Amino acid sequence: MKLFRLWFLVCFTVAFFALSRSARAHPMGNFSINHYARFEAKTGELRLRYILDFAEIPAADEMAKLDANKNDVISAAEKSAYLKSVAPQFLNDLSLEIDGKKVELSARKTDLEVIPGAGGLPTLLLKIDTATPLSEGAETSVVYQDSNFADRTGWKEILAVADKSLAIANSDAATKDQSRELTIFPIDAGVVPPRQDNAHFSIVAAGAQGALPAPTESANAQTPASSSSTTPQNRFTQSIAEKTLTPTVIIWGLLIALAFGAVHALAPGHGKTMVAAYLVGSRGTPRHAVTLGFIVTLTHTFGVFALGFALLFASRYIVPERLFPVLSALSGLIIFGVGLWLFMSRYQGLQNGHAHSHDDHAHEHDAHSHDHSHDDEHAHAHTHGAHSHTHDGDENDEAHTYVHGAHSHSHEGEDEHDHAHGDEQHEHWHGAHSHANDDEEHTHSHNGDERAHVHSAHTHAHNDAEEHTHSHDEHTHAHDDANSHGAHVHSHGGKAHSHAVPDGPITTKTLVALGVSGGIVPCPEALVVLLAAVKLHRIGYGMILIVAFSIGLAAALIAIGLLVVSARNRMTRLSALNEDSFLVRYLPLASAAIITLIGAALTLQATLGRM
Amino acid sequence: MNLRRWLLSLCAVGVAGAGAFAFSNAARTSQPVYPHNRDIHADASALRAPYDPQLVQKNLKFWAAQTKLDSIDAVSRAQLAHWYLESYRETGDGADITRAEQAARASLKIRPTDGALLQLSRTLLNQHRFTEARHIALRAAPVNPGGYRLAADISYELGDYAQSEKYAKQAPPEGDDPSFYALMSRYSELKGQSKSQLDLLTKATAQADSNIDAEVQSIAWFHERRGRALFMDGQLDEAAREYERALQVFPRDYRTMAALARLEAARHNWKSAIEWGDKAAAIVPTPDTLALLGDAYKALGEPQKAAAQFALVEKIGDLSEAQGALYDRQRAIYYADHDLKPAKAVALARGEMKVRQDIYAYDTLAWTLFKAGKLDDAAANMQQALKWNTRDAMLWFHAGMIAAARHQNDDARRDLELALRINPQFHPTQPQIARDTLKRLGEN
Repeated sequence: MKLFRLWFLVCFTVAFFALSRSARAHPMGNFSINHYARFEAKTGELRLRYILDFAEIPAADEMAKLDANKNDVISAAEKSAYLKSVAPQFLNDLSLEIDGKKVELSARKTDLEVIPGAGGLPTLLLKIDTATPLSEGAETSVVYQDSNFADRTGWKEILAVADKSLAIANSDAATKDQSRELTIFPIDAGVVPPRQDNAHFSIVAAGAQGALPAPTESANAQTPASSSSTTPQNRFTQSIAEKTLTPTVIIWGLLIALAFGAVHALAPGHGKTMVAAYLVGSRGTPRHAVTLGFIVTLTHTFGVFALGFALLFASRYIVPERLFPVLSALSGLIIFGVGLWLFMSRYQGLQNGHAHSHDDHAHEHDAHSHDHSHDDEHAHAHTHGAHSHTHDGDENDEAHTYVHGAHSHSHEGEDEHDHAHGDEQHEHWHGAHSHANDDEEHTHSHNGDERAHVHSAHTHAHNDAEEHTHSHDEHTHAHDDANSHGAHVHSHGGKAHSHAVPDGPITTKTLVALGVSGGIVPCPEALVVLLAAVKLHRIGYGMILIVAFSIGLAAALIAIGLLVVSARNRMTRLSALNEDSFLVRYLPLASAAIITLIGAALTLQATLGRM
Repeated sequence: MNLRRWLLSLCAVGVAGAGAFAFSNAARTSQPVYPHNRDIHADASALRAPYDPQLVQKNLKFWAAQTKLDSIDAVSRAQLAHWYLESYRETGDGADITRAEQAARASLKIRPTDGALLQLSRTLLNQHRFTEARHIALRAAPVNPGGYRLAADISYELGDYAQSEKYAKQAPPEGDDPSFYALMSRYSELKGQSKSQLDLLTKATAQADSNIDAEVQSIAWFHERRGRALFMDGQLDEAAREYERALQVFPRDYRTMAALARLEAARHNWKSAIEWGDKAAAIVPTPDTLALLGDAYKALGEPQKAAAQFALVEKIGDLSEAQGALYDRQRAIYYADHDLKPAKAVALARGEMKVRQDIYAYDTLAWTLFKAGKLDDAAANMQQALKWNTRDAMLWFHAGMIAAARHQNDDARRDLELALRINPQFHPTQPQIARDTLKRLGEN
């Protein structure tokens, strides 16, 4: 574990500094010039937001005009002068016809962002807003052509949308913003970068478009298919691209990231939720649930940074798209292995029945000792959940079997008493019950011969710290954790064993294995945020968002884990279930089987590439 | 019972089962992909559809849509890779290559043999990942002889000429194959057999022109190759005509535009050189084109414009260093030709030599070493560059200048005279330097 921690710290530190100091190459190529035109029809006017994104090499060309005094610092005055000079030129190379008449475009608002790019070179994001009056009419036709940098490669996206009172018809422009104003570029080969430099559409009154011909085929083609292969875009991925980062925006961003992380954990198809829930629910404690959540957070955060790191710096050697299925398969295999391990160990335990004698051996409780004497003569009654029975200490009480299903065995507030089973051979089965022993000292002894009793997944609650002894004839045994016979392992001089029908071990290894499997495959949203953060030079904010996303993811897992732990504890106390020992006995086995199946399914999905 | 053994065995069985299922699934979908039916027609140029600037984009959209319809359709992904490669040919945009590689790998994931192997190899070749590219091409070769052809090309780029010819012989042409002629012409060029080189390229262009199904980009490529061979041979007028033919069929061919800029600069037609250089740089601003523009502006007495172009070359250099080394050879030559950063130029040339050891890698290293004053090393590398007797005036000019600096005057005279004899206009400025050096040597 120490080695793992050290390795993790080294990798994290290297990734952090590398990401902090370097910027990523423009995703559309170093010499690309990317275009974005968004028409928004409003009552009385047609707005156009026109954006040019200059990658490093064309930006270097523009910088020669922008940095008038050549001091490598762009002042507000230089920006203003540059925008005044170039905005009319760029608008001049846009052709806009409304109802067949050419419209002169003039800038209502301009903006220029100088964003550091790869190799220490800047990139430029230039925005121009225009508005053209629209006359009243049943239908207004619009024809648009962008002739700026026509030969240069790049992302060329045109959108046409309308406010509520209007609608867009006969359009070959897109209606969905794929690049979020040229801030996020899908990197999937299945998403063909748009190269549209002209468009036409009509503006009609809302509701009137039903009478008009349907949008053309190309318009449909422009709309990004809702496929898993597209770059995820949602409030979370958007939060990195907020124009200005105020404290309010950052807090909202973090809350959104937390919420998306939590929702992501609950999303269908995420075996990690089921696996974590079932493992924790089968026999774990709140501590296990929290530990598991913590491991998932660490693994997921690390996974995103590691894959982002690979994407940025080692993309020549590592293809992230190939890494995803490998990670998915690895995750599936881990889940499969853990599931199988749990299933087999639980099944073995169930088969063995686990009856044994306490003759001639001793066990001890770490923090306490108590006496349980069964050789007394006095009769008493005690309550086992919904039923009660009496051990009267009669001589005739011989060779009997007591079946205690899932029951609670309470000694609360009782005076010291003895619990006699006479001297005869007997067997009693404690399915899954608890001994609550709050205050009073009591004894519980097994002094007969050849008695065997089975403690199946039950707990002895010794909430007090009072000293007491627990005598099984001549032996004592140690309770690791003081309270539970279901979970603890002890030795009677021979092989270590547990009194429970085993649920399978909750060990650090299994927790780590499941935690890692839950977090090892970086969520695409988080990866997009990381890459966008690098592009927008908001690395610190991006990293915080990703950590918040991972915490949200883990919080959901922890919550599910705690819920299931709690549900299980409550279930054991429910009288209705006390009698249904079958369910209680086979639940751990079923959970292990489900984990195994999930692992197998995830592995197969990843192997067959059908995720 | 040993639980660990059980677990390991079951995991192994599970993985093996999944693999077997995937393999059998892939085997079922395995079909021949690329028909080679080519319709040869004398009037093909009249019948062929003209260049459609939207063709690539339309095909990209179509095949991308197909991949979404069927998650195990290897053919669609291979086609998508092919069209991204075609897009790259038009745009020179590295993002297209990245996507082509993605699509090819996605196809191979579904069907690991044949199919997209050649596309993947081409994407790697365009990224100058030569060794990987050759390995992939050879994987395709047993099923598709095109793999040997591609491996021959890649081996040639690597300077592994003997191996290249061996691979070429393993993929003999079926009938008249312009690609095969073009490949054979490279060996002729290497060995200084200019006539044979030109004959082969003439046959290649004729075959390409008469093929109705040939893509205009491919046809333009053959013409550009022939134009380049004519230029190297000193037939500048004929070379210009050949370049123009290339641009007639494929007007966005920025490589041919850049070649025309070089040709016009060699003729000292500076304005025309700038015109073509600007057109080429508007599509893809490569460092050699920008440097040539800088030289042209300088020659026209416009130092500010020249400085702006040279500054861009430096910026590209910064980017190259930040991202990889696609343009190391061009940058090294640029520095050496302009007497800039000699140590840097040598380092770049040495870096290039690690990637490939063809005659031009030796020439680049020799020329940069010469500029750095390391004459013996320069001569040793120049000898390697000339060991095939390639008839490239530039190589002989470099050899002559190195020999002159080492006071081997006879060798210098011989090499410089040969350079000028092969092509008296091989470069905008260096023929004059050769003449001046010869004059100086004659005086001594």
